[in-house]
Amino acid sequence: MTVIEWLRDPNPSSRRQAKLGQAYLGWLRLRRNPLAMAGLVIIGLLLVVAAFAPWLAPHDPIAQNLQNRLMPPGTAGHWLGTDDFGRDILSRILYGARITLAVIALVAVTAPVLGLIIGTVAGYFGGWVDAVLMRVTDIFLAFPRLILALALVAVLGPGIENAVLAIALTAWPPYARVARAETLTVRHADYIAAIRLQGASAPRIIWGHVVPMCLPSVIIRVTLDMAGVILIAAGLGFLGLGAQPPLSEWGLMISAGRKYLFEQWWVATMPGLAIFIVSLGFNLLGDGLRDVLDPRSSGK
Amino acid sequence: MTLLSVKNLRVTFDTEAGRVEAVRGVSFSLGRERLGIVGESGSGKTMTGRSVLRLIRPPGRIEADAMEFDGQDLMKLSERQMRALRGPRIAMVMQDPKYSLNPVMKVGAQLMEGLRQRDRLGHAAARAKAIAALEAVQIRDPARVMEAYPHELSGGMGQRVMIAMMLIPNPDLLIADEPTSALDVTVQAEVLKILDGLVRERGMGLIFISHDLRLVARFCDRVLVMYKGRVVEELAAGDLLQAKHPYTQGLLNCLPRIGGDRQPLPGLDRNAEWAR
Amino acid sequence: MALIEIENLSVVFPGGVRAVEAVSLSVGARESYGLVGESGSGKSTILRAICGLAPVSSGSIRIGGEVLRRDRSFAARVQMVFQDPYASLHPRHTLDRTLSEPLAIHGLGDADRRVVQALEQVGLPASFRFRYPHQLSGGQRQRVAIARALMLEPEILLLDEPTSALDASVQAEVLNLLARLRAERGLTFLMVSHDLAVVDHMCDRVLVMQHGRAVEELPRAALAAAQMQTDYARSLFEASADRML
Repeated sequence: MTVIEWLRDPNPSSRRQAKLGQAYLGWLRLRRNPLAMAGLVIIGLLLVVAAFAPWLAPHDPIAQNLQNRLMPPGTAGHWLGTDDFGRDILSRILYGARITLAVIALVAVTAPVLGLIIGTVAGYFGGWVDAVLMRVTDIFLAFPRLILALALVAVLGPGIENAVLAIALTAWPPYARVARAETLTVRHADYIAAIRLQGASAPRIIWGHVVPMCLPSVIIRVTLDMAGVILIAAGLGFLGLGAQPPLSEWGLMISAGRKYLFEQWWVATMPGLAIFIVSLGFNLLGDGLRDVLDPRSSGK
Repeated sequence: MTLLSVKNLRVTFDTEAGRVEAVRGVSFSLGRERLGIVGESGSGKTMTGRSVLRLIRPPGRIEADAMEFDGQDLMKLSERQMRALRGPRIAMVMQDPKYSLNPVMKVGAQLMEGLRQRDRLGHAAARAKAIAALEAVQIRDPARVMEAYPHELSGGMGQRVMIAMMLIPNPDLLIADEPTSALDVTVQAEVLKILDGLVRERGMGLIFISHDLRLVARFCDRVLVMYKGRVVEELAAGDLLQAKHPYTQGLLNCLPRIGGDRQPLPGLDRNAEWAR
Repeated sequence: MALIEIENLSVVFPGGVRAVEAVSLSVGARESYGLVGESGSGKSTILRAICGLAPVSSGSIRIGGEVLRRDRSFAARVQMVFQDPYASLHPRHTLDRTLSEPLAIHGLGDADRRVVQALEQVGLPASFRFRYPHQLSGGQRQRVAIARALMLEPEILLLDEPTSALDASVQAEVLNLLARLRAERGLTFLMVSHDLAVVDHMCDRVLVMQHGRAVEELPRAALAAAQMQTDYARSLFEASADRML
C-alpha cells in the first residue's frame, strides 16, 4: 500500500493513521489556496535561512570594514549594500532571521498556551472563576507594551530576552478571550453533556474535549499575530529597548539606518523589506489556515 | 402546458476526498400541478430543487441535456438573467425559518425589501402589499407581525411568513424544500392547508421536496421517488399503495403505526441494483 | 418497586422560564415509558433534570428508591442517548476514543475487546473503529451513540428523540436495534418523542405533555384503541393518525 493510499484509507487501523489521514486531507485543502501556499513558502524560506545562515551568508555579520561603509546595493560582494560600519547588509539580514524566528517561537509557545488555559477554564466554569480570570485578563490587556518593556528594561537591563518577556506577557489576553468565546459555545454541546454524564472530571473535559475545539481559532490567531509580534519586537529594537548592538536584529537595523534614510536608503529599507515579506507570509498562511481549520467546513 | 422540463440532470461535486455525484440523470416535467420529490438524505432531492434555480456553487457542477422553464433554457441564461427569474418567476421556501429569515431585520422590512427594490414601490404601497400577503397566509394580526423579529415568532408563524414573502411577487413555480419538517405535527397540517389554498388559487406549479412519503402522497398529484441520485419510481399520488419498486414499498412499510404489532419493523434491503 | 420515581418535579430556568410544572411519573424496572408532546412541552427537560443538566426547582427524583446523587455510580446506572447524531459525538475524537473514554474514566480495563464488541453489538463493522464522526452517516452515528451509552452497562437508558433526526428507513433499523438491546439486557427505557407512532411501537405506557404539564397517562392499549380522555391527547392522536395512509 503506498503512503497516499495508507493516508486515504477510509478505515484506519490505528489512531495515528486516522490523525495523519485527516491532516493529509487538510493539507490537500490548503494546497488549493495559492496565496496560502505563497505564505507557506515564505515561512519555509525563513526557516531555511535561519537554519543555514552561517553557510548562506557571504560575510560575517559583525565584521566591520570602515573603508567600505555605505556602499549601495549591487556593489560587488555586497548585493544589498553595506551599512554605516561597512557590515554586509545581506549577511546581517540572514543572521537576523534567526533572531526573528527565536522571538516568534518563544512568544508562540508561551502566550497562546497560557491564554488557552485561562480562557477555557474561565469559559467552562463560569461564575466567579470566570469573573476573576477575565478581570485579570483585562488588567494585562490594558498594559501598554512599551511601558512594560521600559519597566522591564529599567529593572533587568536591556536585551532581546526582556523584549520577548514584555511581548509574551502582553500577548496572551486576546487568546484567553478567543478561547473563552469558543468554550462558551462548546459548553452546551451534547457531546460535552454526554461525557459529563459518564462521570468525567472537569480537567478531563476541559483538556480533552473543550481545548481541541478551541485550537483552530487559536492557531489561526497565532499565525496572524506573528506578523504583529515581529513588528513589535522590531519596534522595541528600534527604540533601543530590545536587541542591543551589534546584534543584527531587523528593527535595530532600521533604527541604525534612519540617519541615512534619504541618501543611503538601503540601510533602513532592506531590513524593512525583510520584515514586510515575513509579516505578509504569516498573514497569508493564517488566512489560508482559517479556511482549512474552520470546523464548519470540515463538520457534518 | 409544460412549465418546467428537465432532462438528464447531473450534479457533481469535486472534493479533495473524491468526486461525489449527488444527482445522476434525473428527468421530469412539470405543468401547473404539484410534483412531490421524495427521498432520504443523500438521495439528491434537495440538489435537484436547487439546480432548477442554479443555486449550486463550485465545487458543485450542474449539467443537463436540457432544463427549460417556460421556453427559456435555464442552462444558457447568464447569472443576471437568472436573478431576474429567481423570485418573480421561480421561488423557493426552505425548511427552517430560523435560518432562512434574516435574524436582524424586522419581518416587515424583509417583506417590503423586494417590493421596494425590484418593483420600485413607495413605502406605503409596499407596506399595504406586505400586509395583504400576511393576511393571505392567515396571520391574524399582520401589523404586529410586521414589527416583530423572526426569533420572536413561533415555528409555524415563521414558516407562514416565509411563504408570504416568497409568494408576494406571484411566481409561476414554487419549490418547497421540506417546508414543514421543522414544525410540530399539529402545526404542519395548518401550514400545508395554507400552502394548498395559495397554490390552487394562483395556479402555480409546485415542487414539494420531502423525506415523508405519506405526507407528499396526500398533498401532491404526482410523486417522484429518488434514491442515491436517481429517480427509482414515478407515480400518481393515488397509486402510492400500488408502488412497484421495492425501495418505494420499503419506504411505505418501514414506518411504525399506532396500534401495529410490535414486531421488528421491516427495514430496507439496500440492494445495490437500485444504485446503478 | 418503581425504578424511576419522579414526584411533583418543577424546572424553572434562570430568567423565569417554567419548563416543567409539577410532573409526577414512575417507571418500573424493565419497563419502557414514553414522554410525548410537541415543542415546548417540557419532555426533554425532564430527562435533562434527571441527568443534572437542568436545575430542579422543586419536587424529587429517585432512582431505585434513593434520592438522586450524581456521582460515578450514577453514570454506571443511568445513561442517555441524545437527539442529534451530528452533535452528540465529539467531532475531533475517533470512535475508538469516544467508546473507550467511559471505560478509562471508571478504570475498567480490556478496552480493546470491549470497544470492538460494542461496535459489533450495534451492527457496525469493527473496521470503523478509528473513523471520525464526519465519516459516518446519521444512522451510523446514532448507533455509536447507543454503543457509547451501553459501555458502562447501565440499567436505565434515557432516550431523547433518538430517531427524529434520522431518515424513515434508518429510524426503523435504530428502533429495531433499541428493542433488541432492551430485550437482551433487560434495560429500562424512558423515551421522549414527538411521534406518537414511535412511542406506541416502543413503549408500554405513555405520558402526554403540554406546556410543561402532564396531560394524560395512557397505557399502550388505550393509545392503540384511541381511548383518550383529554382533548389535547386526542388532537395529537388525530394529527398523527391522519398521516397514516
